[in-house]
Amino acid sequence: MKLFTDEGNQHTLKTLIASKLSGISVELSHVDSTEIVVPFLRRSVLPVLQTDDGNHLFSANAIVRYLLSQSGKDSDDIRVTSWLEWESTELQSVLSSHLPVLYGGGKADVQNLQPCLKKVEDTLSGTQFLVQDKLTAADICVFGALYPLYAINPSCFEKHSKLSSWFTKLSSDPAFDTSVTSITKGKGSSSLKASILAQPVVNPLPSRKSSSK
Amino acid sequence: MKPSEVENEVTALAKYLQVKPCKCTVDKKSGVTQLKHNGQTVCGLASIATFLVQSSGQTSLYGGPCHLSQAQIQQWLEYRVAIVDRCLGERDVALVLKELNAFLQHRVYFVGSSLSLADLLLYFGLYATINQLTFQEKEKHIHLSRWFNNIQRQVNLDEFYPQLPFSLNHLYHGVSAH
Repeated sequence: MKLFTDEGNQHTLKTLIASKLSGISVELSHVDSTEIVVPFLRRSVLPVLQTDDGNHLFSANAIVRYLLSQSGKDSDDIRVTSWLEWESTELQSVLSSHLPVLYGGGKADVQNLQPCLKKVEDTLSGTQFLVQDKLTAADICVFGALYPLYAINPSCFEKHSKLSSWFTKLSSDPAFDTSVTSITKGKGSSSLKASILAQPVVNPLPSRKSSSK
Repeated sequence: MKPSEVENEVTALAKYLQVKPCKCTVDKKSGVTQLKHNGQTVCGLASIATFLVQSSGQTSLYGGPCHLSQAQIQQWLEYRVAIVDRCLGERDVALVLKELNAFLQHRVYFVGSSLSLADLLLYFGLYATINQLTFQEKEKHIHLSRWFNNIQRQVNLDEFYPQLPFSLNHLYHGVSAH
């Protein structure tokens, strides 16, 4: 299996963690952040997993579950699915507009992020991981999504003690630790900048109009 | 793209799966759809749909035992909720139609060789958009139209999604040339 990615991509970080945890190795192939790997997509989406029979998976979260499932480590608990959906829609619609400003040196309004951080904090107040007391794809994907925030400002979770200790605990796990090093090459936030500035934006949800019948 | 009526969609899906009709609500502030079931709350349309399929026991709609098919279905459900539902203007809509048309060029279904939840949720999600296309635009997206017409006939949910007309003849010169 081949994983196409640009350098310093936090979504690729998710897939590397899953690869380490499942013991399934993927061959990394670095491409330019503007490269279109999946022939039918008209935008550059990275990372992309190409399976041995030529299929493409262009969702990092789906790749994570695919890798975990092959070693029996994925969970079919609906809460995992729900967290991944939340990550790819609600959290990314905030982060994908917040991070480029932050990494571009501008001032980003931290207030927009608070509801998302609070959701994670509230969940962790009763459990060790996002879905009860077991590490799942939910933890991997939310960790990867939040990593760039932490990389540029390690004190960003200070006001959220449960989130903060969850993040620290995951960071010290060997699978997470070696994946972070492999993505950042030990250079911290500067290694993530180019990828973050090139990533596609997830739009906010257009207001749902209830059509009158 | 105008978001389809989520409640209608969940009811239609429950009917198709022959599971007990369920009531879902839309959180006014966040716009997130929620389903309460036996004291458990499931958030998000893709998750609710997955939950309903799990409850129905029709595992083939979720890729059966094949991990890759499951991942592909998850990927397309994410495409539905993160891309299709979040088109902000005509350009976004045009891009989605182009991508899906290109993807379906050599395919009958989105994943594998049978109907899956990916087909169902994309069919529901694209219904309002396809409904607004002219015959000429439908012909321009010939592969997407063929897929859509096939799905609407197969699922047969007329009371929720009245079948849309497609022309079997090529009406226009040059539009579908590729």
